[in-house]
Amino acid sequence: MKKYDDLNKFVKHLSRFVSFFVFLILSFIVLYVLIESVPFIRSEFSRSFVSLSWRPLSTPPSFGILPMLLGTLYVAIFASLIAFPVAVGCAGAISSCFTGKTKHMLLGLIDMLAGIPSVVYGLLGFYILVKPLEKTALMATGESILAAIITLALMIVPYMVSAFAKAFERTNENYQMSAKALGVSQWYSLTHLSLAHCKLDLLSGFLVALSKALGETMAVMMVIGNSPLLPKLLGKGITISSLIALEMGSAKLGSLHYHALYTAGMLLLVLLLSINGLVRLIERRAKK
Amino acid sequence: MRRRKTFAVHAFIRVLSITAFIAVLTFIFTLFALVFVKSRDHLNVHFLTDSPKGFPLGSEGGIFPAIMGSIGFTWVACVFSTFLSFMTAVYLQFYCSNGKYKQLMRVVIGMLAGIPSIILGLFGYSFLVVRLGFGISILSGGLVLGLMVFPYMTIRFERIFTAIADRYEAGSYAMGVNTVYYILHVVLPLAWRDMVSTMSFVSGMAMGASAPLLLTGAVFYAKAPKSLLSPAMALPLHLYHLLSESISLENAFASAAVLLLILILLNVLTWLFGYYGDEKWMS
Repeated sequence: MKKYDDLNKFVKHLSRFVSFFVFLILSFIVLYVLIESVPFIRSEFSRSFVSLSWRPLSTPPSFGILPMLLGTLYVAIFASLIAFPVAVGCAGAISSCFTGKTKHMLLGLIDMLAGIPSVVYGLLGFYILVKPLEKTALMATGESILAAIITLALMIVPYMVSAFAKAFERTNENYQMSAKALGVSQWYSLTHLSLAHCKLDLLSGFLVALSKALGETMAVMMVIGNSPLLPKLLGKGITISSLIALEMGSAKLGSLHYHALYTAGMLLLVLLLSINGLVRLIERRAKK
Repeated sequence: MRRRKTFAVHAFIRVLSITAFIAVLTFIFTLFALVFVKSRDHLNVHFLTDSPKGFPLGSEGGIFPAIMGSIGFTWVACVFSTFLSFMTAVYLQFYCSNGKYKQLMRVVIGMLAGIPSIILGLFGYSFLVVRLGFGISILSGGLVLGLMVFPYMTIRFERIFTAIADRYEAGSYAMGVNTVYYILHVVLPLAWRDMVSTMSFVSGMAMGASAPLLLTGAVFYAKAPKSLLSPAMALPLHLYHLLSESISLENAFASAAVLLLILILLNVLTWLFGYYGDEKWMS
């Protein structure tokens, strides 16, 4: 048994080290983003950060992040608001109309939908939204905030549905017996029991989907047009993540442009981590 | 009055649910039908085994290097993240007795899952590609993808281990074996199926991810990769280039069809191997 004792010690220390390493990686990523954005924050142009013009290469340069920030928020919030009722309805229908294997299969289908790569959604958005929108007289090109909102909404519906369906399922497990004993129909218990009981779960599911939407890059980038304008429903726009994806490859290493992109990334990171923290608080309250 | 309102809410929710459900099903059907119908003429053996050709590049020929590149990225990501996740989950489940540390690790894993993939790509670009000198390569892209999927993998591994521990832990320790014996001879024989299932789930995620690769590993054109340090094409990014530079919509649809087919295959694998990680079993 000596062999197993030695092995035990080895595995214990190795796994402790690896789990600590994971902790280091996370802190390192966050710190790295912070440190790389310091040179920009301390430079003389940092004041232009809160302005509307993004001209990183002209002299003097101007790094207005507002169009991107507003574009990101605009697209993500509207997409989540559109997706929310659809997801609540779909999750409600799945949890109250189906049982057993069919329900399991439907939820599997929804999970698979959530796993479809974002470029495929982008392609779809391009084909079924941008192309037809181009033909209408409403706008010059089809690439627009509107197309981005709808594409993104389609993308985040499955995340919301699977979160909500889980919450409804838990309520069903706890109360279904009593509800049935009182002669309450499935639909009635959905409206007046599940929905009322899962308010906090609905909120946290909404926020998780919102954070997915805020961080999404490719699908949005393919349909939004990518020009740094203030977001209008029928005009082009840009988001922080697509700004980083498009310009990082061409920004000179160590230049102000590079550090400004890092600052934009930090802004996005802070936004998402605070939403993440909020979700954690809500879930803790929901458990009580 | 109150009763009428109650009924109105009830009816509204019912109509909403049924409409939404039908809409989502229609959408799923449309998505697959559109992609496969559109790529019907282009999807054949040559498309899978040829390199991109024509002018502009990609308007003819196939996507063989992109498939190989994607497999390379996914492989590196899977190996890296399986090692990290397995060790972390083992430590948290079997060795760690400090409740505060466990709590902290859960928060850290949750935060890693919350970092958007483009920020991971940004980090990978500056740190792995430039600072460590890995260059635009399979290795840097794969490591970034590994970081991206790590939290999902760890959470699943922990769930599997917990499900097994609920059944066998007390019995094993009562027999007087130590932890590593328990892991090797009780947990792993039971858990390997679920671990394979998790790996294929995670591979699906890594295969479809494009934002982290944009800056770290994928290039517009390369031959099928030979070593870890060579740059490669990636299937999702190939699709993106075909579309964004309006090279060929048909080939973009055909690439999407290949991506979806790979995804379906990985999903089937996930489903075939899954057992303990399944929530149905837990309840």
